Amino acid sequence: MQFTNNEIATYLFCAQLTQTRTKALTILEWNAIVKSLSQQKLEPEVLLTINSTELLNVLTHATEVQKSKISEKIQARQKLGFSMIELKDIINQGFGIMFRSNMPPRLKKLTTKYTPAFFYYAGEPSILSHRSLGVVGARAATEQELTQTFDIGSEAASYGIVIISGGAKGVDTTGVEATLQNGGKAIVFPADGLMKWVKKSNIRSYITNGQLLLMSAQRLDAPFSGAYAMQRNKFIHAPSDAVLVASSKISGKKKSGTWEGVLENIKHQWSPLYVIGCSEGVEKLKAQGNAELFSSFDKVFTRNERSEPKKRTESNEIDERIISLIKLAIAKGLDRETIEEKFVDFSTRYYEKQKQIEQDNTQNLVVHEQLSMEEYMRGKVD
Amino acid sequence: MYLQSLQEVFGPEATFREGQDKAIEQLLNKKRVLVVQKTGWGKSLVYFLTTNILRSQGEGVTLIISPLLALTRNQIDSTRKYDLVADCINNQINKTLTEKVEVIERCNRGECDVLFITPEQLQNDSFIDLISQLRVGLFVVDEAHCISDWGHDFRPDYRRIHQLLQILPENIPVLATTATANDRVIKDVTKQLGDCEVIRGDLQRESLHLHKLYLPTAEEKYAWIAKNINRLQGSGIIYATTIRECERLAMWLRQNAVDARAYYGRLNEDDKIELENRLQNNQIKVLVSTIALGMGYDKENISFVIHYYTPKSVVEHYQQIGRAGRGIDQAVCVLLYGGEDENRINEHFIYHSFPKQEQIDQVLSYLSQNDEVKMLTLEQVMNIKSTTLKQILKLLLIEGFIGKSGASYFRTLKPYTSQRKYYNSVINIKVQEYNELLEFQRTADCQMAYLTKALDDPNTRPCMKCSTCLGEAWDFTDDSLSHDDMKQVLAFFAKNYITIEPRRKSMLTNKKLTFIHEEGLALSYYHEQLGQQARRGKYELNLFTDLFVRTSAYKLRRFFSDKGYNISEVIIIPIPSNRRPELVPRFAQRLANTLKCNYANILAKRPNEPEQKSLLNTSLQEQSIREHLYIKDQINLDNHHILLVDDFVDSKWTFTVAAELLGEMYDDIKVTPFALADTSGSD
Ligand SMILES: Nc1ncnc2c1ncn2[C@@H]1O[C@H](COP(=O)(O)OP(=O)(O)OP(=O)(O)O)[C@@H](O)[C@H]1O
Ligand SMILES: [Mg+2]
Ligand SMILES: [Zn+2]
Repeated sequence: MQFTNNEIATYLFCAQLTQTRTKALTILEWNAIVKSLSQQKLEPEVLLTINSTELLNVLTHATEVQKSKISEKIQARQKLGFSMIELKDIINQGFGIMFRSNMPPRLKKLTTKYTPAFFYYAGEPSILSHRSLGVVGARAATEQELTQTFDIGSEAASYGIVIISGGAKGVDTTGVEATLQNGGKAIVFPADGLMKWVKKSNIRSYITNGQLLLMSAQRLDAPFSGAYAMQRNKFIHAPSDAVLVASSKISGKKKSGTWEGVLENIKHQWSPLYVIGCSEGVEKLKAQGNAELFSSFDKVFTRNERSEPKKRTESNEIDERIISLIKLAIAKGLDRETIEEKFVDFSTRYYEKQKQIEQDNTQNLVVHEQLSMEEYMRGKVD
Repeated sequence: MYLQSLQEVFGPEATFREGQDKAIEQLLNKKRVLVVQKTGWGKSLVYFLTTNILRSQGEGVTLIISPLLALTRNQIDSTRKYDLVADCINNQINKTLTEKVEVIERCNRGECDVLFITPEQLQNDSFIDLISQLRVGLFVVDEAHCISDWGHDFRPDYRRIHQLLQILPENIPVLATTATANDRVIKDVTKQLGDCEVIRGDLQRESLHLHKLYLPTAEEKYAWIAKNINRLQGSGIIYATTIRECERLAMWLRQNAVDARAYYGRLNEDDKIELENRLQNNQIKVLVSTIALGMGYDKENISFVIHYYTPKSVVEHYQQIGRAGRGIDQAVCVLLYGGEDENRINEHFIYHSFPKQEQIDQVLSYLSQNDEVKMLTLEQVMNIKSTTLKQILKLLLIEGFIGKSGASYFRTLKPYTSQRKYYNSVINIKVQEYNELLEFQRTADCQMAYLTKALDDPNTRPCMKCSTCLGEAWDFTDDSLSHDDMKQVLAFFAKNYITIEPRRKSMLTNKKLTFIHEEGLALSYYHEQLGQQARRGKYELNLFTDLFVRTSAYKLRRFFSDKGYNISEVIIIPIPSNRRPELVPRFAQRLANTLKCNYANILAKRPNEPEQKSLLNTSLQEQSIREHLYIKDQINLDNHHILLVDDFVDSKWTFTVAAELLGEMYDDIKVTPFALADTSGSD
């Protein structure tokens, strides 16, 4: 994988890089930079060479406090180019980096306010485009809750539904293991770095055969962090089509991770909630009408389809156009075989050409990156 | 434009050599530059002067990757001239992490302008963390042909630089320099550098007088060197391959009243520094050196370079002769070549540059099936020589197929693709390059022209100075060897000992051995003529002829009397073998008869012992020997001196364990091992 100067700059200033003993930009600082830059038709690569006066002039979308922090952070890292060998090593070992411009629509539900500048990942990122069920719940769930979670996880496999979880002990792990063992797919956002995970032989085999995707915004060797565990709740709730709450306490003096995540979801209306069992949190969700009992995949996911009406009409439209093309072809006297061949032929050629363009034209990539960045920003920055 | 900076250093008369100022300018514009110019041209000047200017602009430190330690020291000396403060990080000088941290902090505080590192450092995670903190103003890859797979001895460490160049942000300028890059290497290096400017000049070295001479035996080469060394003025370097060869040749020269010393990487740092200083100050006639003192080394008045062996490539040869005649008008370089040993050794190095695929697969599949695995575990479960195992792990690490944390290794997610094709292509190039040098031995063309042409210099021309160009008029050396010249060498060789140093620790328990044998003796090296005769004796004739009995007796008598022991009081004990039960005992018996000493065949081996040489790592070897060797007959040997006799010695575990068994059984004994050939280092 070759990186563009923009990507290199993004990583240099946004990655944790604790070994450099300097600070990374926060998501909000990065958003302010991106917005300022794109307004002036500049790209992140300028950050590599810009001096502090120029930078302060450019930062039109940053607060005064942000300006001085940003300037300080950029100065501190500008000449630490050798730290980028970290990125090279990460890629060399088979991990991937997903910059914002490559994130699928599902993740964009998070909005920029919560989207890190990039995710580290291990596995096949296309898993993110499948329909998915988030599974959250306490580490200390009851036997019964776990059994039920296991059954739901296993069933997800046969429905082609991906399980998304936080990889903690208890509910998270049960749901994921159930689906993996039954040939299903899962996405895990662990609260610690990914390195520890891929050192395990069985994890590696699930990853290599395309069943498991691990994602994290933390450096690969990060230890468990409570703060990040809270942050990553969003990564589970936002992209899921529905979220199953298998067991939860209610935050009291001590905050419950599961519960906080659920509250956030309700606040942002990311995805409908379903529950099982009768834990404290689950009862409250039911009582307040914030969640329904999980009955069956058929119910949950047909209902859910309504939340994607746009896609549906889009695909209807395409169907209709294809049908009219076929009618036209028949009218012109083509036989069935020729028509089918033509479809295959054209789509093959189209995709090959697309691939060619992508490979050849890195210039394009930069533009694309920028475009999607702007599209991203449009009216959405909080 | 930068003339002022130059003149501040070299005086008001100084001018740039063509291309130097251009390179400096490009670097100041944050560009990447490749300089390909002959040895002694002044490539270092480009980066030192650029550093001066960058530092005055408030930029960070200049980081230089430099392949050899001797070179680093030499370069640090020369930074003083530029009023630059230099420091270095490598495993010899600042061993501890705290020392390294201090260096980095000095750099970031602006107290240091130039930092030299060796490429090996880039393998080290804690070092990577350290340079991640370093504010770098200029990155220099000296001797950049090394970063090309086609450029030099394959050094996996250099693949790291390749990776680094791919990710290093463009706000840090990069300079790569070399004297020895042919078109292919230039293409490869520029590809790695990305968008870069190439500054290239011709390679002919006006001061060098080249000569080559066919001398097929070690004895003839020794005689020639002794005869000619004092005809050559000033001081110089003789290049030899192995440490033992350096030591032996230096000893021979000293015996001929020549002030000669051996120099190699494994010497301790203080000794190396002392030798380098003595050479630098002309207090020594000649250093007999391995490649440890090679490329880049800058001393203005080295007036001769002799090759005792044929280098493996034109690159290596041109680099090494390039040490001579840098600040003087005239220097002589002689290649002594010929002999079976030489080809065998060089070819061995070439063909064994990479581990076998089966072994790589073995390691990978084990790691795949496990989580994290300790190095120690790997050694124990895998029948792979530990140096090979280390090499495999290193290659796999660099390619990202495995990862490392602490002392443990683990398989990564990167799908394995066999590197065999790539390894083979590297080997093929090496064979080709070696052939190019064999061709140089035979060529009837001007020698300088041959070398520069091989390096794709477009301005190749006859030098009119080499022994080919001069023909009969060549008189720098006297190549005729008399009977007398030879006789002295033969006497020297007969007296020279190949010693067997005792092991002191068990590899299995990591504890000290309970009994340690005396320094022992080997009659020959396996790759030499006598060693090869011993091989035939063992594998073809099943008999060691009288020649071995005579020469062994002769050597042993001298060896024992030099140590003040009486050989006739010794008891000879043969090392047993179930595969060839008679071979060694019979020889040992005849040896005892000739030496008029006692003989006792009291050691035996339990059946089904695997052949020692099939056990590839030393802990497996030790274990196997311990399981099989025992004392079968009890006779009293208290207070005796025992001579253990075996055919070949390699890992030394047989001698070590035999001595320990005897030492535990008897009181106040001495044990001295003796073998017909030392096979260590050959396969
Ligand atoms: N323009 C110059 N004027 C005067 N002296 C110079 C100039 N350029 C270089 N030198 C001197 O020439 C000598 C050789 O230079 P240097 O060691 O940089 O050679 P090099 O090109 O690196 O050779 P090698 O390929 O052997 O490493 C040095 O002592 C240096 O000071
Ligand atoms: Mg040099
Ligand atoms: Zn010539």
